[in-house]
Amino acid sequence: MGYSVELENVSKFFGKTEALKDVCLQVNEGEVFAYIGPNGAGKSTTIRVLLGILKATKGSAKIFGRDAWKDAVEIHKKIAYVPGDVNLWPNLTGGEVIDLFVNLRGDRGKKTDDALRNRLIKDFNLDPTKKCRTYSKGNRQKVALVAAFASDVDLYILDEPTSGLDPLMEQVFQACVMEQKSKGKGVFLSSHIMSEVERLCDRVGIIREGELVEVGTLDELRHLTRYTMEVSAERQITGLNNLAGVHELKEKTNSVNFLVDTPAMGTVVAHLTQFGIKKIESTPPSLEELFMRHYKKEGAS
Amino acid sequence: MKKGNFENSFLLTKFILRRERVISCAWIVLLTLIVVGLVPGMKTAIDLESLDSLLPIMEIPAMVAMVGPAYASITGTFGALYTNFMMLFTAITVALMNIFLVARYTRTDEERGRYEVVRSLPTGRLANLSAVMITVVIVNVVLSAVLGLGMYATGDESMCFTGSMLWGMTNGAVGLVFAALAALFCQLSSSSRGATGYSFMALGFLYLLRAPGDMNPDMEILARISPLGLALRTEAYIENNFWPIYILVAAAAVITAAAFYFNHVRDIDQGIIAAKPGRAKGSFLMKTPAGLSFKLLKSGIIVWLVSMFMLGASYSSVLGEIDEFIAQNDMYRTLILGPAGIEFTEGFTVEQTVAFMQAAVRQAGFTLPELFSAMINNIMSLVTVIALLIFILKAVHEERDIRAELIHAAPVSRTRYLAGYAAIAFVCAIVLQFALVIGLYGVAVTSLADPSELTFLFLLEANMVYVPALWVMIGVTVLLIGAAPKASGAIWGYYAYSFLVVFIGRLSVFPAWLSKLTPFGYINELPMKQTEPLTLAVLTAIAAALTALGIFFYNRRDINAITH
Ligand SMILES: Nc1ncnc2c1ncn2[C@@H]1O[C@H](COP(=O)(O)OP(=O)(O)OP(=O)(O)O)[C@@H](O)[C@H]1O
Ligand SMILES: [Mg+2]
Repeated sequence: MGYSVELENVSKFFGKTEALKDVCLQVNEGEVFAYIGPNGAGKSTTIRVLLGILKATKGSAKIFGRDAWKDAVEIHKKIAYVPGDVNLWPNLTGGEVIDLFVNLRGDRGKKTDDALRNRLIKDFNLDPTKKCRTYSKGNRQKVALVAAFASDVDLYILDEPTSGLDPLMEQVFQACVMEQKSKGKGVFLSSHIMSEVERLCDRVGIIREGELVEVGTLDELRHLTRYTMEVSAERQITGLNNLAGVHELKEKTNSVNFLVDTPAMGTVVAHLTQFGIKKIESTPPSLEELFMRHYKKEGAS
Repeated sequence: MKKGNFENSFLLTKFILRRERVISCAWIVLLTLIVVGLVPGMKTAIDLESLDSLLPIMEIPAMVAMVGPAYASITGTFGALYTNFMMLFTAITVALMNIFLVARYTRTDEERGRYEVVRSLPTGRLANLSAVMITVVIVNVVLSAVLGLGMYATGDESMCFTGSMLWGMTNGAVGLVFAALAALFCQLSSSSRGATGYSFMALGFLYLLRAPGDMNPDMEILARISPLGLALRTEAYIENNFWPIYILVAAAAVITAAAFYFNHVRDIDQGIIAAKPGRAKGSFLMKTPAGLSFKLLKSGIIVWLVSMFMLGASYSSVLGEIDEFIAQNDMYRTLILGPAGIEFTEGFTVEQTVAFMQAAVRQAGFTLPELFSAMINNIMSLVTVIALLIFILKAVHEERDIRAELIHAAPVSRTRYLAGYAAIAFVCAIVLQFALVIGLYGVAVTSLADPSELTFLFLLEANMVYVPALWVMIGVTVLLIGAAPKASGAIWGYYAYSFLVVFIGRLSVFPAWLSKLTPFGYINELPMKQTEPLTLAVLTAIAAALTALGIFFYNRRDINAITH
């Protein structure tokens, strides 16, 4: 299998500001990839480079092995894009806009799948007869999502597609992504909603101030962080202080509470068994904590 | 309606006045500057002897249809003529100002969710509307006073104090009526666009309604139903009638009451007339990027087509009296006969001048209607450009509003997208010029005693010869869009330059080379001089090259470069 998205040392300058700094990234075909990072980190910029809307100042961006800038038109036959801020034509109706996108993406001559389109409109609870001028932010997003999922493409590039959706619609969206995933389609998803990322994504890339700081599966990322441990034992637990990888040790009357680096887990548990464990509880770091660490400056190293 | 409905109206009025003061002041000051500022210039342009020659023009039916009955011809002072001529122009401007004002603080606020905030405060149900209407009264009273005092301040002896104030008040009263109408439509329609749309339609309808009433005394009643017709019946500086003002104010009060009633019975965000659903599916236009561009421009194109036709028709409607018209007016004589090389000596009667003029024109191998149309064709080509620039600049506006990227994210090449806009503009150049020809010719045949003086083929050729120059203007704009999108508005500067050089150039006051810096400088007016086919071909080639170059650069730059 090849890569759906491939970035090699991509930099993007806007005048003097460097919005992307030597970004290298590979996303496998059929993978659901989450691209996350704080505001202004460069997520939308990366996506626009991938779409051939912005030209990379340096480096190469490829989709399905083809140059994102030079072969934009060919590539776009196989992808669907949903922007974070969906700006639509005020005097067209939602239905017209959906048909426009589906028609533009589809092969000319090939019949468009009206049943799918209408089902999605119903699932997303959208009124296609209303003018876009009257849609709320969430409804504009639904128009773009219906248009994307009603198109027969191999890769969905979604830039914060659910920032205006209510929880019910969020579920509909997740079901759509799952369905595409099961069909082997890839998704490149930028998001601020951690539960969505956790639920949907195979791998995660974290970008901060234009630099890609971490890429990996959720488990791999967890590996870089600490579990919270709560242990009670028959005898007084001692000697934890001297073990590498143990932090913030708090001793209570019958139990101890501490953080442990994931790689040190084995030695720590082995050490604990000497004291006759009565109860042991380990909590993995929440995604939120995980990302916070990476989002904050000092978490970079 | 309970008293509590109006709770805190005055507080809200203060708030609205704060938000509104700059916009309304700008409208009032600008309008006064234009209307009053034109007075000294007009006075020198129309010296007193030609005043008598202008008065008959006011009586031409086409003129009456456009600006109202020629009440000024009774005594024929400058003040009366001027206000007679300007009444509808200013009243319509004031009406527009009021419609925008009311829509801004009622429907638009409601659409943006600001009205909800106001309603959540301890304010009455009708407080916002009453605050808006109080603001409207204040604005229109100020406007009446400023306009009236402005006219009086020009110091013209034919502009007495009573007449000036009456004229100011007439405008204010018309403003009140249209503000009330807009307030009513804001309750009936469920969107701000709908409300302003209905208000504009009402304005257009009432403008047209008074025309037959003004032209035919038997239909006087039609003119008296229309606020614009009533405004003309104040006859400022002649009769100084005050009764139309009373009717206008009373009408405004009644309509406002209706607006209050409907505001009381309707729900927030709802209109009395339900919005009709739009298309659930896209038509064939939604299959291609050019189809989308056309759909977005469609209503603009239709409005321009109709306008070109109407402008052509209204120019042709004066052709019947063209001989006397030119003979009696120095400025027109220079503008129309000058370019044909026909000169005049002063000191003849009108009949003698007409006879001399006709002989000279015939000897030169032209007809007077042809010479008149030469000037019109020239001006109108400059009007067509405005439409074309608006159409092509839509490409930049789409990009600025971050919608172009949606199309480029689909498999649509940059070339196909921008070339689509260019193609629409190129075709519109021909079509708009053609609509103008139809308008000019259609009315010319009926108003000319001898229709063979202005043939269809002549008009067609004389107008179509401008098309290559129009294309060059489009080409320059496409180049700007491709190479310097942030500066694409600069095309209006180039347009203004072309306009000045070409239009004022008729008076041959500028050195010739200045006109060679604009494509219009290479087009010769018919019937005076043919333009070489080679020149036209070169202009067309330049237009094509500029367009291609613009598309070339558009392919090489970032989209959304304008937004930051
Ligand atoms: N066209 C532009 N010109 C200049 N600067 C730009 C342009 N587009 C983006 N930027 C800057 O580049 C940086 C990255 O922006 P980007 O929109 O990619 O962030 P983001 O990660 O998508 O943020 P968010 O989560 O808020 O959507 C920001 O500092 C932004 O101001
Ligand atoms: Mg973004």
